[in-house]
Amino acid sequence: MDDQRIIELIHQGKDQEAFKALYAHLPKVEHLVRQNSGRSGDAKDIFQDALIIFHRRVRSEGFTLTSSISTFLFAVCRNLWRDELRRRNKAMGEWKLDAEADEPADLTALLAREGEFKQAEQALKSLGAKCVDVLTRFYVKHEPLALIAKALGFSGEGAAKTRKYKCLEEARKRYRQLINTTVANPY
Amino acid sequence: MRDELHLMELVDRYLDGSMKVEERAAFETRANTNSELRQLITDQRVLHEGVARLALRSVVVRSAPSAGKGWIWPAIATVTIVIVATYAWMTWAGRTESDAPLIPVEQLPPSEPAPEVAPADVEPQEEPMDTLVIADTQVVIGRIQVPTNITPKERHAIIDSISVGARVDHSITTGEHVILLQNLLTPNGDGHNDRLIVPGGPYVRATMTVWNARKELVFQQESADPVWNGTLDNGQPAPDGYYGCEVVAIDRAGRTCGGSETVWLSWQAIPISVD
Repeated sequence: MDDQRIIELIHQGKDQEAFKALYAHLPKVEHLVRQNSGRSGDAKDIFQDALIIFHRRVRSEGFTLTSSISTFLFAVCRNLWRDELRRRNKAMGEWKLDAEADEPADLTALLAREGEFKQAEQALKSLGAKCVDVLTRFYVKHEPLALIAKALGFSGEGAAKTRKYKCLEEARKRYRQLINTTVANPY
Repeated sequence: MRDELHLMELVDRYLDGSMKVEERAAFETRANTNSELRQLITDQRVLHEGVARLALRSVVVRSAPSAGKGWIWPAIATVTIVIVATYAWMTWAGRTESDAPLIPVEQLPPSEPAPEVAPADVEPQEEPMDTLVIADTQVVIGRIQVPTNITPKERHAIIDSISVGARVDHSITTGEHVILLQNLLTPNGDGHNDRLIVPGGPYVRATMTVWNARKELVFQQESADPVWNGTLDNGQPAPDGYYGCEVVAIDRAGRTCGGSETVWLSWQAIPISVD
């Protein structure tokens, strides 16, 4: 599937179809990780992070594709894996890559906040499925509170709003705790 | 709480761009002089992103091609069953380790709970199988079936996954100081793998961090000699399963050492009689 088609799919909200096609790039990343003291499970983890980063980028304002998707994903994975190895106190071997010159110039800026996002995800996940459901419906699917209340069995709009508030507040508390106490970024 | 709720909604509206120009300007002025509010905006922005990513992550995971290596987690789980059951049998029979028999996997009780990390898409494999003999310090403690086409490296990973040796490797060639952690934690009081420790301690400073299979922080300790006994912050035992452990330490020679390991925690393991 060509790059433009994948981006169209993402814009149309056909994420699953797009991701399925993008998994074709996984073997290359697996190779990279296995060459550099990792296992294929590690490769899958960082690849999935890269898919999320790519998706967020495509959906962000003013997105244009400046390199091939393959190059982008690989460059992101290489950066993520290098950071992960640093966390594990290992060095990354020299990795010769022809396409290296193509690496998006703003990659460092793009990935600068990955650690924070990861912590945020972790904090949110630790709240449990119900909170995640409320917050996802509200912030991602933009469902009205009345609908959320009905779907999740809250007594009314007010109750849904309060629940949303409490979930986000607790998430924030846990997020701050993670940011302040975690020395190494959990991967 | 009402005020805080209201403030959070303001921040929501500020972030999603639904504020009108004048209101937005007033809100920004307020934020400029109020560092707590600025922090709230920053945090809430990150959390919004977190919610979006969490939703995406489930789609990403669902879209993954079914794993060809799906047998490896069941295989490791089976090995654990073999070990536990073998020890149980040895204790019951009062035999020494050297008498340990070869126990075919099929005869073992399938009572061990499946590890949390077991992928959902595990399917019965119909590949040709080999028998892999698992030995712990030369004593055969079990056999498992593995596909014939796995690489020696993968075979080694299976065996490695049940070994419990822990040490520190100071590599002269690479200059790395790698802490090799135990990968089995059975807090049953029998003196074997009862606690997760950092080998090579005490250190000048060491941090041990433990996550569960859902990558939620379970335990963290910074001390000269961090130890995890398998309990959660609230004193309850952590559920059986796989945990990720990472250690970063400065040793007395000033060297930074580190290591990480996937640790199998089992409260179900039957104590081995200590002579």
